[in-house]
Amino acid sequence: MSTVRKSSRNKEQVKKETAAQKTQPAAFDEESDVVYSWEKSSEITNSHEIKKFKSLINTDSKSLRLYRTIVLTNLDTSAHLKVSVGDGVHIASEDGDNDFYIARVEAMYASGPKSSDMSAIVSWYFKASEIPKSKLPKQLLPNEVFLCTAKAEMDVDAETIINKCHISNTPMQQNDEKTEKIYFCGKSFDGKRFKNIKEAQSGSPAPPPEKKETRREILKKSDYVVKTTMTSPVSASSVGMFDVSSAAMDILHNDDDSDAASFSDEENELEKPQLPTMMKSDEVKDVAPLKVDKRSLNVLSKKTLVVTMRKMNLATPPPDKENQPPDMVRRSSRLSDKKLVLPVKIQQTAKLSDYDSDDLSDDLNDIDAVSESSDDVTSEDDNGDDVTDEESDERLAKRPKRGKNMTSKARQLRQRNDVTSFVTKTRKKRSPHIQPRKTPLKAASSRFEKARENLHVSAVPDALPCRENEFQTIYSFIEGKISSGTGGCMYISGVPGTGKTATMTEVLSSLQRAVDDDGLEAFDYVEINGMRLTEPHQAYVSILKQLTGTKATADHAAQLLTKHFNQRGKKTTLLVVDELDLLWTKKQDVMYHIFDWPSHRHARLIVVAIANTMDLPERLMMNRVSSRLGLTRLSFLPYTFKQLQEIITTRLRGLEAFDADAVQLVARKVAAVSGDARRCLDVCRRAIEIAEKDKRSTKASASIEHVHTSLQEMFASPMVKLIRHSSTHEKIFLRSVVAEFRRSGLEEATVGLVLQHHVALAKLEGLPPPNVTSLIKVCNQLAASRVVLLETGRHDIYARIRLNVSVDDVLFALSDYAS
Amino acid sequence: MTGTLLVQAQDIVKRRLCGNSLPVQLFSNLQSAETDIYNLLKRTVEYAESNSLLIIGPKSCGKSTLIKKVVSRVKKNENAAKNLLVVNLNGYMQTDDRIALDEITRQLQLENTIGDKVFGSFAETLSFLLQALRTGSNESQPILFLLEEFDLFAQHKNQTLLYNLFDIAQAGLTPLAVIGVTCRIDVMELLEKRVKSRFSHRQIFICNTWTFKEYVGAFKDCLQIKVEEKKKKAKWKIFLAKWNKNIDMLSEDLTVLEILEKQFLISQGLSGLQKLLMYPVWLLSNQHPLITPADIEESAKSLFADSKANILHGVSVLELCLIISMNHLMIIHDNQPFNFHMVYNEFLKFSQKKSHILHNYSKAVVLKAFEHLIELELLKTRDHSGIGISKIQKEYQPMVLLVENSQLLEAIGKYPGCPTDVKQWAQSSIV
Repeated sequence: MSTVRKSSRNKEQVKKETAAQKTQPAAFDEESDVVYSWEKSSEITNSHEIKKFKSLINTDSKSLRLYRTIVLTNLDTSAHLKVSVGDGVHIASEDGDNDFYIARVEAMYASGPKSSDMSAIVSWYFKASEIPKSKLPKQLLPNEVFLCTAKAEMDVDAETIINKCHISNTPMQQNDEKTEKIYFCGKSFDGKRFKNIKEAQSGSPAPPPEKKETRREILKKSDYVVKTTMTSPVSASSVGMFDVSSAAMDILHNDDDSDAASFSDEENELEKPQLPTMMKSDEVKDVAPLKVDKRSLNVLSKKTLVVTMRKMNLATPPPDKENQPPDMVRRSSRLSDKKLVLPVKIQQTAKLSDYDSDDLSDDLNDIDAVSESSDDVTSEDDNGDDVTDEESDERLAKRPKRGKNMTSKARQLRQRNDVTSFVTKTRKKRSPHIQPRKTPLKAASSRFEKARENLHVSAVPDALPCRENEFQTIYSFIEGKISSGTGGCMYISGVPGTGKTATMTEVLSSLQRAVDDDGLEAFDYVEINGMRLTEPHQAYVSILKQLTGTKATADHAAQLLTKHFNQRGKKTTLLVVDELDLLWTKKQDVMYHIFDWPSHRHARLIVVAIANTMDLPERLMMNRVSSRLGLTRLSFLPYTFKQLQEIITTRLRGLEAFDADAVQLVARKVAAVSGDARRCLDVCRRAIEIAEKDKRSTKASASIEHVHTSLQEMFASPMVKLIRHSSTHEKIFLRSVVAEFRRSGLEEATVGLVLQHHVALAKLEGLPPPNVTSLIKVCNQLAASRVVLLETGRHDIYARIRLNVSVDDVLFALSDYAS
Repeated sequence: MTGTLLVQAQDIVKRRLCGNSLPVQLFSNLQSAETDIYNLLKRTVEYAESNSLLIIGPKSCGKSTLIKKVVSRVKKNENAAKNLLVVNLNGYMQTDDRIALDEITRQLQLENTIGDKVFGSFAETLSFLLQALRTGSNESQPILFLLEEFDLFAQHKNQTLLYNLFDIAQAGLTPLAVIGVTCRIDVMELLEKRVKSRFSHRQIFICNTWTFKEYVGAFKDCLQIKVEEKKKKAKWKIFLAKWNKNIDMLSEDLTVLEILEKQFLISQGLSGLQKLLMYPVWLLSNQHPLITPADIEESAKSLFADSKANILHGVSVLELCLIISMNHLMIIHDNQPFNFHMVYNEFLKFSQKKSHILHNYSKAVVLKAFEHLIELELLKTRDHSGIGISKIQKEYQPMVLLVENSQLLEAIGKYPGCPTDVKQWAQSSIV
């Protein structure tokens, strides 16, 4: 059972270790590239088997089909991969990086009519690189892997299978000529310690009984897994599903044969450490008459299961409780300490379950009580006061940081997915993404195309020119705080497009480089953007998710974060808050919390807040908030024309697609308006487009003319053009408005008065004056384009009207008409 | 036989008039804009270059038709058709970001990723979609976001959707082409400064540049059917020849030209033309197989009818007299508001001294008629804000008349059986 959750930083550490050691198989294809088909013949049609299987997973869904063999086809390479039950496989890690997991296929089934529903049930193996060095056994055989006996999610998407490997029970022979990767598995690892299967078996060369022993472990631990996710490897094996498998066939057969014999021997020994989680399947049945929806991935049913499992774990007395009563309590307390969120979660899910809620609430109270006391218990542990525990617990107590040794891939997954790590999340949960394009990208070939590419705002320049000082300030601030292990706040302001976020990104990558090369202490990085949140309180959720990978409601997340930042002994966290002003609430509690955390004693939190306005702290924030923000401020001034010029020239270096004069014109123009670098680049890009289209131009570069056209397009208001091209009555109407303004001396008129002028002017032009309804239509046309502003509401001819353009502009636009 | 042919022809023209498939040649004036947009989209599709663009133009000048045309042209290219994802949003339908995000998820078919999971909250949908769009690179499929009634999106809270779309378009993640379509000239001022900064400031401005001659051409294009549009049977050809000839004749008919000019002077947009032609086309039948100038005249009559004059046709003589009294009061007091008692006095003066037809209505009856006129919104309380008005007794509430003098005279001219003395009284305020 997964009792310990690891924070994301631990995960990162493990990853680093992994990076150092791992040997990689062929590069993985994207999941979506893999399509799979399966041979009809391999479907398990034996009704007896199916019945057994279905009874095991509590479903009688007609659509559920079992397979012995499936063929995965990679669409790109059209390579086939035949996977049979019992084969060892590599499974793509959820991160999508080149990491992979090792597992053995125990069963394959399709629960729906579509191929996308194809799933495999696997048992996991750890690579040595996935286990912290501290925990590794001293003697490590080449390619040794360890059977995962911790309870882990066993249901994976068939798509995630990359290729096959061979998992052998005997140490490696010299059979390198084989194409399949061969692993050796002699030990099991449950997240805490290794079980050396050899010891129990007194060095017998053929390991079937040992193998079976480890399986037995899983069986017991996963009894409820069988019930819940229908994925236990044993459930598969007990239906005899692997008789077709080639490589692992003999092993599995042995397993089957010796199952019953060894069961009783091992039960006691094995159940001890994992006591709270273990029980026999019949008990499970008694306690939890589970209802599994026919779609096993249904959220509701999953939640129901969580509750049930949780309940069983904590409420039901374990079968051999007398073995270790004190430890049991401690364990569960440790466990709940690590999942403080859990009770809440359960309460939520309780509503969904059709489960007896009275029993449940009792249990929940238990959990609550336990979790309340958990802190104390843990601190006892930390102080080393309590050494009466059995061996395994001593080890736990010695651990410097809790949860650090948890490397189970299943746990990694779960930590990422949910607080209730009991939930057997499936790997099916893929992150959303846009499909990759179907035809290859065209590369920029001509000079203009390259220039356009470089001038796009998204193009990442090698260095950010003109922001060296700001870069230095931010960098030294953060670096100083990190190395001194303290925290602090910094406020960065500046109008849009002055490179605030870009500089911050640059600082960040420099810091990462420093961490990698110069031994700067590693830090966690969390980024939130006010604009990407639906409301300010979502900031907590977002921070918590990035920090620990857990999800919680906003209020709860706030509590958890406060708690998190009060804990001692963690890495420095760098929190970048972009678009700070959007986190403003009436009570300003979000801002308050964000700036309050760094002042906590053990927080080690650096907050960099970015916003547009310089005086935000004074204008918007309450005193207690702005006081916490402190006075470390940095202002990004709008770019001057020289700086803009430099930015463009750096981007266009070596392309000669732009005249120097033209660059200067753009820079001066933009600097005069806003100093917005984005605008500057957009103008240039457009100028290049115009130059490209311009066939008259003999020179192959954008000249002043092109820039001028581009500026005209972007800055000039189309108002005059619109008025010029409006219909005759629209023009007359505008003239009437001007006439009425002149008459009254005000800049506002009512529609009725304008209409009278209109009729008079139309007669003067010799046009039949339209009736009032048509004239109001004309008025509405102008108001829709916002040439005139019309009062909304049912005021009819008494609606007030105003020009949205200066009178001079109107007269200018109408001048040729009047003449 | 002519019957089925007529139905076919009618069907073709009806489709055009309802705005679904206007003949392409109508928008020849938008050629350069079309090329610009086409090139922009092509770059997004081929080079994964993200772009944002606004198409601005007055109502019914062909903005949406233009963009539809460009998209279909881009999709003709086989490569592009395979790659490009199009998301259509309309400010009137996606009235807030939440609905818009759900719609985007649906149109991008991202629901499949999450199976039957239903999103709990707006926040989840947003982070889900952002994750989807932000994890992309230039190797992802380019997406075209088409935001019609763009100005309405700018009214969403914080402009979250626009910020994120423009931000992604600027960040070199999933290639996006964000194209906004709006009729508001001042749309840039609606954008918040950081949203504005992220927008590329590409604006394509289009407007109607028709002369009257071209407008008449458009009229013909709307109605005439080219032979190759349907099967090339001899009978069909003969029918079309006859049909088209009739349209040619219509376009030279003076009555029709006059109506067209009237419409043209008010609005150059095609929607006015479409409305004008709707009635005559629907009227066609076997007995009446060709459009006549009279049909168009009839249609124009209803199109240009004055709404208030129409309402006045339906009021009683008493109510009409009240309107006349109010009109006189407005003239005498130079548009100053009046109340019921003033109107009643004015009415009494007339009915007692001049009129021999009208009975002596009691005050309560007159007040009832007055209230009916308020309900018809022919007059309303003076104050814009309406504060304090409701406290005043209704007889003394200051009111203003919403009927113009010209409308009143027009209505009285057409009023069936209007007493002569009422007519005279309407024309002169002297009692």
